[in-house]
Amino acid sequence: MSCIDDDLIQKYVDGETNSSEREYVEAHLSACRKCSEKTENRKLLTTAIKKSLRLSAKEAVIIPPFSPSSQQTSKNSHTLTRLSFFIPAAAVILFIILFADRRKNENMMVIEPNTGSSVDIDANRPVSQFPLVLYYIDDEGNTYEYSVK
Amino acid sequence: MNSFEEIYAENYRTMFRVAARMVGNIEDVSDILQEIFIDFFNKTSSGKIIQHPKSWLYRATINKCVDNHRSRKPLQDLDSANYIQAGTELVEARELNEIIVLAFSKLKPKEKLLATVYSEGLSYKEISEVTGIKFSSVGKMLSRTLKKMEIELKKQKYELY
Repeated sequence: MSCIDDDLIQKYVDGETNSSEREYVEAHLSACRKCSEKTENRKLLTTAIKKSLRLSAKEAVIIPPFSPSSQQTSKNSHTLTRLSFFIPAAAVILFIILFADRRKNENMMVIEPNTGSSVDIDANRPVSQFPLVLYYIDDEGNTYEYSVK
Repeated sequence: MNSFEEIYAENYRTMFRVAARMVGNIEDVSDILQEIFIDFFNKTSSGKIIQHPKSWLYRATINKCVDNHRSRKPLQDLDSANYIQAGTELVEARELNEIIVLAFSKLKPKEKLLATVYSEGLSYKEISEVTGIKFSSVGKMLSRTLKKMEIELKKQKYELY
């Protein structure tokens, strides 16, 4: 009779064999000292491993109280975390918008057709032939006027 | 069906042990468990029926631990999972415990997972359900994993028998 393999011994030790496998293993173990010893050793090993890995201190693990309110706390903390990212980003964007706007106002150049009463406008002429006046407003607020003839 | 409080009290320690062995850092373990139980609470209180709470919690714990594991590089040495104090155990027993934990720390992640749920007394069918390992492969993988640990024990010259 050939010896049984380790996988089957493991299944037998764990009580996971079906009835025919169990009968086969038991018949073999009663006749084979080597496999019988191997099975006993495997039982010792699995017991020791289970015990050591489980030794995890049932007493040492303290179960923290759980209440539905902790769920709310968690949601709030998530919101706060998101806000903490959002607020600086919003501040930077706002700063850029304001700064860009100010710069635009500082050196403003206005180009407009001179429609003042001093110049006659012939509405039948093409727009390209309208007289143009350029107003330039510098940083200090002085206005310069340029006429383009 | 048990109330949430009963399920929480019955399963917290088991899930803590499983997560502690997979993650190692106890603070992370507490955070992971809090997230899992809040998720469980939200699901059940919104009317969803979870047929097998224990299996659900095992799967959630394993998945969260795997996510945590991926997000942490380099991976922490799981030796730190040996947070357990044997207390009044005999010196020999404590040594054996330490050697077994050392052998455990040398396993591959999937083997660690297998050894962890196995040590919690799950059947092969349950192991297959919670780990996703094929039922027909559980015995074979388990046998190899324990063999690896046995070789490590022998390397440490520990005479178990």
